[in-house]
Amino acid sequence: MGKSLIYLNEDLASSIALRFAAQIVKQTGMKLQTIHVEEPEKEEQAGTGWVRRTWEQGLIEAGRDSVQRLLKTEKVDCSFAGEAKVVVGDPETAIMEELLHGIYDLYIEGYLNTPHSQDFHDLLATRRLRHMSCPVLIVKNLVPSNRVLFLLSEAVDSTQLIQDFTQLFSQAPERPPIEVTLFDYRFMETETLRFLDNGNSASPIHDAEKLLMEKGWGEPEVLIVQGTPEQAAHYLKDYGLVVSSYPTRTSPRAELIALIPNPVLLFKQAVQPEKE
Amino acid sequence: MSEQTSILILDDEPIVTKRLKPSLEKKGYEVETFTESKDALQRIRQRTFDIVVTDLKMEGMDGMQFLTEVKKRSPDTEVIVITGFATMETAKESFQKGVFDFLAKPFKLGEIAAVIEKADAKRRGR
Amino acid sequence: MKILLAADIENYSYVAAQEAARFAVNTWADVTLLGLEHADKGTHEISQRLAKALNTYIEFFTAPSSPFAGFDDRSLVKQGDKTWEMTASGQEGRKKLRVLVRRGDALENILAQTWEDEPDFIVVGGAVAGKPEWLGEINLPQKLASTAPCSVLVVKEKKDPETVVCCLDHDHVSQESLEIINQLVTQHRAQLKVVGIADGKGLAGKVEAKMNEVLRYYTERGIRSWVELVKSEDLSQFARNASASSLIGLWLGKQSLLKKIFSKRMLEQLIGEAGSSVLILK
Repeated sequence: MGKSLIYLNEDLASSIALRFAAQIVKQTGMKLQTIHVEEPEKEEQAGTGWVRRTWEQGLIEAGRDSVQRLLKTEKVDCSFAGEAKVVVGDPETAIMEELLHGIYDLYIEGYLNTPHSQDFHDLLATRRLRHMSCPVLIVKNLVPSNRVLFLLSEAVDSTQLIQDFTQLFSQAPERPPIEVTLFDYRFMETETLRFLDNGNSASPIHDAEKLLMEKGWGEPEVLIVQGTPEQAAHYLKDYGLVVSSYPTRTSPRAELIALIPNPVLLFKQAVQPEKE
Repeated sequence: MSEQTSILILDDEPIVTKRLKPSLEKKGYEVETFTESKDALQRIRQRTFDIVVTDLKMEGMDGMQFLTEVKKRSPDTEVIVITGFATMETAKESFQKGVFDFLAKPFKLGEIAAVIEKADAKRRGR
Repeated sequence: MKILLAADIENYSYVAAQEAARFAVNTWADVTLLGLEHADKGTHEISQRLAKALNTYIEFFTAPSSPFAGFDDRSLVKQGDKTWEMTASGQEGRKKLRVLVRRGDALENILAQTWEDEPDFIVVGGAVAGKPEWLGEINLPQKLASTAPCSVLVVKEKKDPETVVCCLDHDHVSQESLEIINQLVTQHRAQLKVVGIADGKGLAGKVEAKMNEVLRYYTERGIRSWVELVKSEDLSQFARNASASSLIGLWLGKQSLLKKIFSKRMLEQLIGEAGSSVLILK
């Protein structure tokens, strides 16, 4: 059975992430592992030997309590892989180590959206996310919708994205009632968003469409769209989840991923620099 | 009051029932409060109330269904609708179903008490 | 629900009256329409222009299908030295529309009526910069929002916002304010965005916890709600951008002196600079 790792703190971003995580691990048939990192202030760093162990133990107990409080408040109803893991130290290192030692199919983290897209780009540039080998789900908000949108562009291997996404659901108890949209995004400075003709049936988006149907996910809605990231972000607001590949460099698609307020699920893919 | 007026209050927000009950009891009414529509429904099947105050939007059962049930069982019961999500349509539908008044939240205790007094006067004047 | 609409003869009051009437008709609220006039007008009668404006505003409320239907044979009766009340017949509607006129200092008169009526919120029009303002009172909406004991809706335009954006910088949120937002969101079929205002140290833990509570309250009631974080120094720009399609709200609670100063600055920015209507929640 697959496992998801969720990084929790006792805060709003974690509350939102936890609520969404409970839903997605149930749908995928995965188990959820929680991790919390107690990051001591520099002046707090205490001694060596027994003194240090006792001090660390105190921090771990406090951390475990805060995760328990969060789980209790959110009344999370899903399968857990085990007790909350509580680590003292630097969150980047602790999460990367946990991902190396445990075998995880998905990493989940909450994020409070801001009007500055750079804040989200900074998050994507953190070591823990850049070096992550599994898909990353960043929960910015909860959108009560069963509509999932695949954000595609020339830089995205769309069939690989569909393969990876459906693989996440390979152990699902049943096919979740999801309505899929394939959204081929092309940057252009326009007054309003332009919806283009679906056109050439041999294009990658139609390969993705065929693959989804072959895998039994039904016929997706296909949209080929031109506009600015801001216009597209506004249009995508009603989707419960946006799925794309992890952006590795600045691009209109990366900007769009940063601007959307929805939860985003990002899969690592081989970089296609000339296209992004 | 010659005969105690009985009031049932149904609202899934405990804060509303908690505020209303003591204030109305002080005025001499007999008050029963419910936060679950299924419990309130069970109660109206056991006995009639002179006045029913119900929220329109609750989990489980729609308040409109509840007031329909109240009026079906006891047409003389005066129903007062309270709602946090008022629209012209819900107000009209409520009046078509014979409610006495329609109050949008927020309201002060004095406002609902005044409406209850009017409903009680109407009932006693019959 | 009780609404106090304070209006003079200017265009912003016309727009505010339209919006107040739309809201009141949908929520079946009790309404007091308070007409305001300069102290230097004659002592016997109110001006023709105000009487005409009030009649126009009353029409917004009294369409045949409205709970305020009727209101015929109108007559303004002097109540005191500087107050008048309108009498009318044929109010077969179920809700009460009370029409008053007070002459003198606009802010003082609105506040006096507020203490008398105890409305859930006050509706006033917000003047566009450079245009005539509230009987010579500069920044009346801002002053009213700071001093009124209840919530204040400053109407700047007639529109259905896509989103009601409510900003929070402290942890006091009244049940009444949550319910007013419910009604606004329902009426406009809008979404809700709860914005936490972060200072230099980030978003205060208490504010974050309150945002979570507010978010839970609305999601449990089926209102689509978003959360966002905005730095206090970016608030002005944020409000300008959001005002194109949103109604901007600010929770203004009982606060420490420091917070009061912080919020006063935010309030002036919001009301003064936002192009949209602004809701100050108490």
